[in-house]
Amino acid sequence: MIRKKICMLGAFAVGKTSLVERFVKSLFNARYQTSLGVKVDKKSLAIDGRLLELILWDLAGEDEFVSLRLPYLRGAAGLLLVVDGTRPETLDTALALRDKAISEIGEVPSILLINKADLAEGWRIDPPDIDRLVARGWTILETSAKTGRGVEEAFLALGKEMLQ
Amino acid sequence: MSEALPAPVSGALLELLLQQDASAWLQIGKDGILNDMGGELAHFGLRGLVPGEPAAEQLLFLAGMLPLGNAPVTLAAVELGPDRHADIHLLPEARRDWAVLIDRSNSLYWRAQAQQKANELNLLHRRLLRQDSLPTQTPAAAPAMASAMLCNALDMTVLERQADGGFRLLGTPPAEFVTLCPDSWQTDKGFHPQREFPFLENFIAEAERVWDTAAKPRRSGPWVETDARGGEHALEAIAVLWAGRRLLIIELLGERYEEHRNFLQMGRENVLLRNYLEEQVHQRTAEIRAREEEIALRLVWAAESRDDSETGAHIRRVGLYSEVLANAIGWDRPSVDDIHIAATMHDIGKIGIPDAVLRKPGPFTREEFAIMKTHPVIGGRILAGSRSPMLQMAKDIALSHHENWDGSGYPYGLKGEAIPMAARIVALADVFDALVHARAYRPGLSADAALEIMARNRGRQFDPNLFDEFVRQQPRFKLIAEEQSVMLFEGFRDNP
Repeated sequence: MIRKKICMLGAFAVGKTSLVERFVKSLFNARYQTSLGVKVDKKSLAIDGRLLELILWDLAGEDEFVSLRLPYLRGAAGLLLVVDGTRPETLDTALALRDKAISEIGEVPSILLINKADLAEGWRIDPPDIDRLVARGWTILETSAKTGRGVEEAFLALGKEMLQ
Repeated sequence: MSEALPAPVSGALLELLLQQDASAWLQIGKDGILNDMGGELAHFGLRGLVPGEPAAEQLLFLAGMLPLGNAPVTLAAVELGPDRHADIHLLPEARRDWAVLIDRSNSLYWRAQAQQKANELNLLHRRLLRQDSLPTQTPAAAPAMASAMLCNALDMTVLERQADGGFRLLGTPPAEFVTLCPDSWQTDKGFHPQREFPFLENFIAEAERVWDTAAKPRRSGPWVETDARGGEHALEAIAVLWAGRRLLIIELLGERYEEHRNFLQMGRENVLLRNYLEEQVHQRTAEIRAREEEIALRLVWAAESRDDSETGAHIRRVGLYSEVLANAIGWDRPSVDDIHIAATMHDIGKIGIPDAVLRKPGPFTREEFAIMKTHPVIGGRILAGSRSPMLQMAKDIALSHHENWDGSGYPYGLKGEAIPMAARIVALADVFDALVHARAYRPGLSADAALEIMARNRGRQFDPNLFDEFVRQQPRFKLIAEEQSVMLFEGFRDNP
């Protein structure tokens, strides 16, 4: 079995923990509970006939209270950058975190998740900003930890990229 | 401290607890012999203490106090020397030893901390008394084991790195800890905690540096593990090199983690609420602002429709560029909204320029140019005296958008930061948009070509830092510049 470490990165309250819970346990808790520190979960996936064990590092969101501890990123083979579609500033945070991460561990496959797709009517991220990232080669997926939309696909997509 | 200390683990623990304030500690056997000591003893004038000798003979404040009773006692504000006062916390037995904490007496905060430590050690005492079946130890191992038990009872697990890369467990881990990896706690086998807790794979690499270089103890930061029943447990690891021993202390954070998390949650919920309310206010005022903007734009258009070189779309785009740039440099939301409208009025003073000058197709004479250069002052006068922050900003922009960073602009030759920031922003936006769009007398340039020209005036015409930010925002500006459907206002497209 191949093991790969994935780090979940993003601003606070974008839904990183909820995405992991949804993916690993098929659970969704509507109440926001902030993370402190790191939570590590595992889940195995079969991709193209190969068994891949994902070691999911759910890192506490970054804000004025807490900043990312770069040593946590060591050994990461992929990044899931999570953005809250209803809070445009979380896109800037995710991009800044990616830059930090890349400077620490080098280029690794990354996927940007615009989470809270169940609240898409209230999204305030400018579509041109997303188009610009897509034009630069980013893989961007819409997810909802609440409905499960896109969650499995997101981890699968990153898994595939990491195996390439 | 001596290398031959009998209790390295408790010493490391207490050092960690006390290292940030000038405190000291003593461990005294039940026979009254001073067994161990550490911290800032010299700070309290406690020098020349000899382990292995009766404690009360060396420390006057202990005279008559030993043996200690069952309850912790604090001797407040004990004079240990000239201007040296301390609170001394006497903590009854930690199974084999008494602990004495010596703390500054003038800090309520640290007094509270010391009391907390006293309470924890008292708890330790009770818990140790409940443990009936302690493993039998050899005399040499006993003090280290007792020290490890001190940690264990404080919800810490102490591991010592072995030569083969595995770890040896010291003492008995707390029961809560065992639930996390019930099959792995066998003291006769090497233990590899990173196999149970992948989080430690990273931290052990950091710990190696602490152990190899005798660096200060290092904390891992908290992490969360889930037991077989789905219960979550917050942990933190501490790497310590103590008397040559490579220790990894894993602490169960328990309520402290929850308290910290609750504190963080409260702060973050407040931030979310504040942002939500700001957004609500913004949405509610958006309609009012849209009306305000339309009135402003219609008036500006009325003023500028005489000028063949200006278009309504240009006016509108200058507002959009300015909004993006103001946002990028961190302006607050109301000010960003203000500049979106205020920037459109930058040339409103042209209303006072005669047709013969304003609409002249060829180059200006010196006199005509002098007349043209009065439009900022006219604009400033038109917009002056308002109590509206947006119109006050519009006045600054109208008056100063032709000032140059090096003082060579007009009307007043203002220099550097004496030029209002809003005017510096609009100066960039105005020039950029004029360059990238065709005029009657020349074709439009590409954004890159426009920037190249503008870069020559970085630090001369333009604020250099602002110009750099402007360049960073180019992808957004290009989108605005390429937008063919920019309307001056709803239902009015002036430049098809």
